[in-house]
Amino acid sequence: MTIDAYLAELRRLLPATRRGRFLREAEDHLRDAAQAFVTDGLDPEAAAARAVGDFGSAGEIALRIRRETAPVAVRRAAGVALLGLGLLFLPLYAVPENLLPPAPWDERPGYLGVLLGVALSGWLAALALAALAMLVRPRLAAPALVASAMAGCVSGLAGLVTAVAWHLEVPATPWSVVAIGTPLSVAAVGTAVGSAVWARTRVSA
Amino acid sequence: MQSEVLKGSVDVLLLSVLRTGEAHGYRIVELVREQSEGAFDLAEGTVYPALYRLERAGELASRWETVGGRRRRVYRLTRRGRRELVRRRREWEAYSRAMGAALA
Repeated sequence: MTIDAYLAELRRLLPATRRGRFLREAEDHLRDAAQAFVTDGLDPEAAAARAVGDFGSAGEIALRIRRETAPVAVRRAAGVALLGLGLLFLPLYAVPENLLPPAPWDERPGYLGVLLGVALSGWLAALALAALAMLVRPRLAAPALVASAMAGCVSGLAGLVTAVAWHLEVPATPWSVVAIGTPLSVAAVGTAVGSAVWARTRVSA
Repeated sequence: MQSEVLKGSVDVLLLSVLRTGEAHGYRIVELVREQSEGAFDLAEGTVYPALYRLERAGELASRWETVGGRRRRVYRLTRRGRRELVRRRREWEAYSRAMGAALA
């Protein structure tokens, strides 16, 4: 195999985050090694093949690079998920607290309380699981992130239903509350789910 | 040398060859081969994941350097790396003495 073909194979197998630096280092290494074999008397083609052979299987090396970079990748994903879930603070608390008109009841309807409870406890669970994912090993972090994303989905969905139900119970509620809350919820949950999926691909690759 | 024995020794070998100064990946592999008199013939590409691991642990630092018009990533031992090398060397010496005594 030629050095260029080997580097192309590595490029195909490596995670994008490590591709640039590692490929430059690998190319330097292979060209140095091939040059040394040429100096020792091999013809350039045989020298390149020998250098590639000594470097090792591209699949094995890519796997090791993925294993080495997984902890950092998963911690970053957990950080992004935490940030995304933090955004849910806006649709779950900040927007309703500041934009909703006063409710016309002395005692809030029970089902609204349940919905709010589900939304808030799901949010807290999602935050706690994302924070946990930053602290544990990648093998445990990826499932923690998936669980966090699921809790975030439950929270976002409950928050959305709460917003719509509130609007129906309190006719003066402006639709802008739902209009602001919905994309924020979707963005927050999307970030959490995206981070979890990305983390899983890093760990299971 | 048996690959399983070598697998557990790669980190300390890499720290050890860098104790005298900076080196790039290819030179590091050469140094390991030279200093072990050929006994540790590493699969060359697998050195890089180990270097990245040691760098992430703060035991190595690296930077790009231009030599003869070519950019190379050179690695050096950090202060933490030096401490770690001393600790791991002591462990190896104790292990080696114990194995030597057990197999005598």
